[in-house]
Amino acid sequence: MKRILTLAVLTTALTLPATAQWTPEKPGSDNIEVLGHIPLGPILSVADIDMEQEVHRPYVYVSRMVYGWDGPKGTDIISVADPASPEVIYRWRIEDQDLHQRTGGMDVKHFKWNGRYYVVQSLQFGSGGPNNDLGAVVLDVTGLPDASTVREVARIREPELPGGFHNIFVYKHSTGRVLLLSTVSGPFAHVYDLGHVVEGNLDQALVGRIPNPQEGRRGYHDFYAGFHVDTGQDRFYGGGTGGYYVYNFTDIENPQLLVTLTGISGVRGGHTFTPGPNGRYVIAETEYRYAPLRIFDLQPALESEGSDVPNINQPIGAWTADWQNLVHNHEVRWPYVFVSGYLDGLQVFSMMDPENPVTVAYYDTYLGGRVEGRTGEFNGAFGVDVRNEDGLIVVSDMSTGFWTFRMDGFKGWKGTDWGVPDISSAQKWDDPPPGTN
Amino acid sequence: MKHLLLVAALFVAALPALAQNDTPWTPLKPGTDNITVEAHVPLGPLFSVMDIDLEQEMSRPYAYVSRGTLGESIERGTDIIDISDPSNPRVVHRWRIEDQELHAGLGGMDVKHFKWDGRYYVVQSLQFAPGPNVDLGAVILDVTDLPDGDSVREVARIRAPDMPGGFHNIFIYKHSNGRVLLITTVNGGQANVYDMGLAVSGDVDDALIGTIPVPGPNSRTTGNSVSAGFLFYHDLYAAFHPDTGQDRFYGGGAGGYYIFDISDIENPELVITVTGVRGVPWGHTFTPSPDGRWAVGETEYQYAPLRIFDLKPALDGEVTNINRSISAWTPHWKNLAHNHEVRWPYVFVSGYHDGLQVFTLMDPHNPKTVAYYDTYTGPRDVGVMGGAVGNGAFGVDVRNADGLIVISDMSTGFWTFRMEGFQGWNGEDWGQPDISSAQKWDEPPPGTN
Repeated sequence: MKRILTLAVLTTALTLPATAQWTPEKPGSDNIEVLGHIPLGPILSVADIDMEQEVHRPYVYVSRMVYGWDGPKGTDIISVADPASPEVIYRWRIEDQDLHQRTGGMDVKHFKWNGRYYVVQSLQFGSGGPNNDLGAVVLDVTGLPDASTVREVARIREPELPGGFHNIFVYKHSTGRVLLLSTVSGPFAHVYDLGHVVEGNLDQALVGRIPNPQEGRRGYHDFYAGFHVDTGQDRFYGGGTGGYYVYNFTDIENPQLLVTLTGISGVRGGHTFTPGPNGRYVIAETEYRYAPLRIFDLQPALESEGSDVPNINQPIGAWTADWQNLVHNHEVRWPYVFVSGYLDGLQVFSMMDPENPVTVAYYDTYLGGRVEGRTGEFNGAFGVDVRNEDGLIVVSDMSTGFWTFRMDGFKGWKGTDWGVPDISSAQKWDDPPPGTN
Repeated sequence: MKHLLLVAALFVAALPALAQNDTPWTPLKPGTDNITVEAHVPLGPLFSVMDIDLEQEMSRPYAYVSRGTLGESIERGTDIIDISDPSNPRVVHRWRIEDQELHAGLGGMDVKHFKWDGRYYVVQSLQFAPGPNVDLGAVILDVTDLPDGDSVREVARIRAPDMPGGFHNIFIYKHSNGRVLLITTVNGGQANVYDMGLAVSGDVDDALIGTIPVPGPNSRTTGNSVSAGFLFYHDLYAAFHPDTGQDRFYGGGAGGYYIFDISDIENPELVITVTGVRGVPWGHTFTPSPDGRWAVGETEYQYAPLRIFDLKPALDGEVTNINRSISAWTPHWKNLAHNHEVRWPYVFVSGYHDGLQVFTLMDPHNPKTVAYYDTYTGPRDVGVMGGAVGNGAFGVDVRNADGLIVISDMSTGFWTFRMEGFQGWNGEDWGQPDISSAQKWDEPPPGTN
């Protein structure tokens, strides 16, 4: 009888609004296994994360910033050859760190070009110190795990738009070019040809700009690009001033606005904006406390036949780990969405029913409280990535460092196994460009 | 095995509730055990019921319910309900705008009563679209001789021809100078202040005695990116502030929330701003605690909780703008809570889809739900505003003398409730000034006795 009552209570608890179920004594759901964890340094010194997708290149890149009071500015390179024993094998740092103002490393992405592997570390340095115009540094990491082979090959600067790049995304375009999309201090995103960058043609590397239709000081906060199978288009998904925007940028020099998502109650500016593999459903973040991730159905806009650019202003669903907090970045591996949920740690929800997303797993990587002197909700799990080949999950936590996880029953991801295109943030460097094969 | 079957049955029973509502309240158990439904009176079609006001004197057991339309109804006016027996309320009078079918727009939205010179009145705010009475903001009814419905008579209409579109929200405040003021939203960047004594004495043309501006982008507000073309107030409240001896105005509108000293009605002075709050592009309703330290701020969109602000740093002069809430409360994060009445430490909320909700601010950093009753059990996808969240409990009021709670539900009508252990409210019983939205008509103005 006791068991029945216990289960009945649990059943009732299921119907309560979203509030945290994770505790210091039981930080995770039973279907999440912690493989490894390494602290990386002072609190609030860790930013975004990127993981190479090839299992024979078991490297993870973690941005290092100073959001708190101490910490380095650069990139940590971590070997996950044994995911249970991750190891920092290289630390790139900006020279004269003490002279550099503001946060430092924020976003990080890797790419492959002409047989070599590279990492782009986005950087943000304030005025009053060196490198205020520096947006990113590019490292050649081909020779890993031999750390002595890592070398800097380029720095991308924007002297007319100082302040650096807050977020970046690397996309293998259907033309075969590898593109770096970057935020800048202007009402657009920049598009760089990374082939030019690493071959010394920096002057010709800026190959396009994607405008934000509602101009602001920083047009975009974050973005994503993915091939849209139904139309054969390369599509850009940006969050920024006014909301979210979808462009066709198959012709990189002439991006064409397809859909806007503006006038959404509670959304003055979009943060991160990620579509599912077929481009129909999108997940949209706004960066303030109490904001859930909103889910939009783009289908009505994609099917619109009018001459005006269609607008969507109403989500079809929403998800939050704990409504009193705020979740941050996310990686879509349909139907799962892997979330770095700040104070709520790693979270995984399912979009199998996009109107009713449900939490399927979690592990709280940050058990501390809100830190006085900084915005309290900006702490804990900052970035997340997933290795498609084997389902390894990694999280960068602003204060507790680097984590590796496995989720029961998730041993890798391939879109076609779920009846959707095999498209995610993970680029396929050695495959022909999508749409050409 | 039998146990397992029972467990399975429990899960099956819980699933529909989870799928439909995702809330502890269900059609079969809509309320907590500490809430008693005294009565319920349906009033008409879906989306035809708006805000509510309850007289405070036990000798005058009348509730006023605005009738407007966001659906197919044409009812536009006021229902007057006799609650002399709260378990058997009766509609005793229905005031309607003339030629209802010719009027477009919402109709009746907010409603408040007042007493002046020994007589009782009701102000019904009105909003009409282009057509007849587009400039009409409110009608004033003399209701002194209730419960005789035939005795109700219209005594004045307040028009704002320069700002057509009517008054969306109103508040009645007995000022420390003894005047009874009607504060209204208008279709522009200010609130209007009318002297009700003048309005009911035949001098309605001179009744507009002040305006309270919405601070614009050039004000000293911090983080306010409001453009001058979109300045407005959405809702308002006023109260005496004992610590300073000031009459204070609390308005929610473009950019956030604003507090003015309105002791000198003709020269309101901006005291505190609450702007640059993330997730608050504009404020809806803004209600302080009796001592004016804490404030509850609503924003009108799906997923928005009620935010709790601590005004102390601004009251102490450390800052002039507050841009962060100290906490928040929501009955259900997927929905939206609407109006609220503060009876410290309780906050009575008309929670749209979630019905009547009551939470406590005893610890303002951790507000807790203490009671609820879902007055709307209809489909969750039928409503106005994004996400169809605008349906169900619209307005709420509380009678301080005996703790009677009333709700106006947009679709299900009028409800009366009792909450266990809440048999009335006097601020002093809680160590607070005895200040709430309930005005004291027959007492000397605060600060003068």
